[in-house]
Amino acid sequence: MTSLDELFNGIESHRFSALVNVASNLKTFLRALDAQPEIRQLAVAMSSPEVRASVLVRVTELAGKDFDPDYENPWDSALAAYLWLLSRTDAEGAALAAARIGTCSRCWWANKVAERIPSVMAAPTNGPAAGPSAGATTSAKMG
Amino acid sequence: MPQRDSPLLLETRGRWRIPNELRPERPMIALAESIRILGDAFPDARLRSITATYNCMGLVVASRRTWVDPEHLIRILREDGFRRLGSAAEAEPGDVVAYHDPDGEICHVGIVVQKNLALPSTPTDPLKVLSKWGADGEYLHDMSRVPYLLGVAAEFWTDRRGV
Repeated sequence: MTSLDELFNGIESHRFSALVNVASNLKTFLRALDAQPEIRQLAVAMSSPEVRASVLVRVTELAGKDFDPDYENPWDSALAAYLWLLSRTDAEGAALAAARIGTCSRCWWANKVAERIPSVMAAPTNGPAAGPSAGATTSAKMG
Repeated sequence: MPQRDSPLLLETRGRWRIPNELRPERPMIALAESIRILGDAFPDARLRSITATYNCMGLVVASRRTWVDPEHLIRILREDGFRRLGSAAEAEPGDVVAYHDPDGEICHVGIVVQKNLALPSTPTDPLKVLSKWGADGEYLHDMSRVPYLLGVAAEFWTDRRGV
């Protein structure tokens, strides 16, 4: 059984970033995410509210980290991945994460996923997740 | 909201403004890891260059300057006077090859740079292609030898003209 920290480390690795960055548009990027074992394992683990809360905390931590402003945010792929997973399981958490990522500079995929998340004000406080469904990826645009 | 660079002023010959977006460079350590991973997975592919600042579409339609969504490819080719070929066998160096995802939508594009010799004893890719693999490297590769996420070669277009 892979621990949550191990999954986080895998998703935040340069290896993970390289694998999902072969994509040229958002639709392909989301397909790339769904193909990664770390994402599949974390998606299963996120049936737990505690794990979903940990993912949201992780987004906040990563979004606040310093990095070289001459380059893209090194956690862009990880932030996009966490937000994508939250959007499928926790609409309110996804809206909060998207708002946090919206303040984060030099993100690419994370911004594109965030743009698809309904805002905090519009997010339901309970009930089914209102995030993008798998079918919604069909019409995903590059940005 | 974070500030983004303005898109380039980029038009087809038909004067359609091509949507595009400037992407920041990825950290050097991330690019190096990409070279290592894709080099291991595709040892026959030759890396020409690596940068995140343009994608496959940027290579083909924008002189390596920006990101353009592959969904715009057909409109751009038509407005630039390209015509679709019947098969890979009709393609020549300089022509364009478009790759389809499992839904039949264009997800990748490259430029034909060479016709491979067909050897009776060995299955050979008909074409050598130059293409940019997302935000990773620009590779010279056999037409079908791309990461599976980049789909399968499905359409061939040319702007060749004669008299």
